[in-house]
Amino acid sequence: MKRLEELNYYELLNLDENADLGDIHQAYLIAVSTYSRDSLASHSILSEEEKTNMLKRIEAAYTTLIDKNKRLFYDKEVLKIYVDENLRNRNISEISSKFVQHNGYGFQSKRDITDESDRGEKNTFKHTESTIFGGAHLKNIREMKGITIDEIAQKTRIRASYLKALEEENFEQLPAEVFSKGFLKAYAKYLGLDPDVVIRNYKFKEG
Amino acid sequence: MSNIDTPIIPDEPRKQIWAVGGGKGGTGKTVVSASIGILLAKAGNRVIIIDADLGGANLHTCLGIRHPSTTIADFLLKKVTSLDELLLETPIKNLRLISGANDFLTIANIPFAQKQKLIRYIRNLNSDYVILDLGAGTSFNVLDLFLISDSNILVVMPEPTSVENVYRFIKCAILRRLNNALNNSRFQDIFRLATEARGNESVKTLYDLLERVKQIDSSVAADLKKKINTFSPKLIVNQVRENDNISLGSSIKDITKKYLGVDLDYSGYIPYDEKVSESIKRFKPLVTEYPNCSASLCMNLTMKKLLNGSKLSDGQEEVEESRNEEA
Ligand SMILES: Nc1ncnc2c1ncn2[C@@H]1O[C@H](COP(=O)(O)OP(=O)(O)O)[C@@H](O)[C@H]1O
Ligand SMILES: [Mg+2]
Repeated sequence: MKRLEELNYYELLNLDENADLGDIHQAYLIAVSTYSRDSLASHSILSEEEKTNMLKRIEAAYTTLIDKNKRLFYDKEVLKIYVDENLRNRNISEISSKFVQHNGYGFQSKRDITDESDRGEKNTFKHTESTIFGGAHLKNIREMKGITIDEIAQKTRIRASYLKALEEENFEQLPAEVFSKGFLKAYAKYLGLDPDVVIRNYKFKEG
Repeated sequence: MSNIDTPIIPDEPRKQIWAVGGGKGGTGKTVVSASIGILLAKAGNRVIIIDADLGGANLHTCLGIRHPSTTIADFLLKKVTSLDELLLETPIKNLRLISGANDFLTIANIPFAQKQKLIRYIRNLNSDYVILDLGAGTSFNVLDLFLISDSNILVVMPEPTSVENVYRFIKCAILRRLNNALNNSRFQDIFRLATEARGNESVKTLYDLLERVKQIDSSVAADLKKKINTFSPKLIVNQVRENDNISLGSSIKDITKKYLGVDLDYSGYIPYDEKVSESIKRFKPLVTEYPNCSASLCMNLTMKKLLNGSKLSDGQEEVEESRNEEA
């Protein structure tokens, strides 16, 4: 338990010291929404001024951690910690192929959820998990039901790679939306879900 | 370090008590309790589910029982001598219900001795799991039932009053937990101050509380700190209507940690789903009647998280000794 004033940048954003760019950006988005003016989470507990101050600190934390050199300096000189660079960069190649621009900062838009197990999984809601019937959610449901992609592919005659792309929200690998929607419907139906509800909630594009 | 020679004798699995609370009424505590109970029972566990919402009992409805023949009031009014006599079969195998009462009794005004007896009997129930569906409010009796549990589940919905209530509930629970652990009149003034603090002042006060206790007795302060660190309620966001609301859980977790000093687990969200009220109207349990509706599916996913993260807290709270609420 720490006083607010004593929280370092990582603690402020609830990040591990090994956090990669994707983690940092995701944490930043959540933090901003937590302390924004109209945030449901903070309205009863914080004053406008407290929220503004918090947002300033969050901004400072973010701009430092997202910048490789500033972050190194902060780690070394302020926190006096040494972090193995390799840990942070381990999926940088994977990230770079999926980078999108946002506020001028690059970030990993879609997390590879297959490496979930080796991260501090406890409570960290992945970006892709934050959509009702988003890809990650559908995958969770499928796995919970013990159904494999191949099984669905066989029964629906839809290519496994497309089904996988739907779960990963990997739109580059999918055909035109009208077709993909058809795939998603069949997939949803196979899982026992209401296809219309799934279609309504699934986001085919960023945003 | 390793002692390969000694055979590992698994501990007799201890019964787990799970409590579902969170302050405000209408957030979905009862629906969640019923679903959790059913899913645990369906997984082969022996489950007893108790409607501890005295005055507002409706758990039986969610389990498809129209007119429970006995209720917990029979125990409190000494018509029966043990909780076992109150166990009602439900439509679900392995799941039994102790129904709540809807008469003059309210949880807040059960006398202290009665509550102690109730807690003792709950702990002695023979079952793998006991689920407590708590009523609204933050009376000592509600808090104590919450705190005797191994798993403390909070249900919140995306609505200002519910969010406000859940913070209040967490704060009252942590102070109560510390107070129960302390049970020493030397510190009562410090606690009174902490209880009165609001909003952002709360954590400062919790922090200051530890500091002030430390000045009097540092080992007591260390114990209290441990009590805070080992208190990790699980949060479920229910009745989610927009995607934005999903991150509400992460936001509440963040604020609770920073401003109340308590580390929550965000265990999952349940979408708003018409099938929930439909199942209640039809007197059918949601997760068995509509196993594939979005609420049920999310209930299943949440259940998985609850079970994964069910590292037990540091043992059930002892409230036997604390009689602080008695004037
Ligand atoms: N996920 C949900 N979707 C739609 N309605 C819900 C959902 N959860 C709860 N409800 C509705 O809210 C009402 C209150 O739920 P209940 O579990 O009795 O709340 P509590 O026990 O917290 O007072 C129920 O009658 C139910 O119809
Ligand atoms: Mg209820």
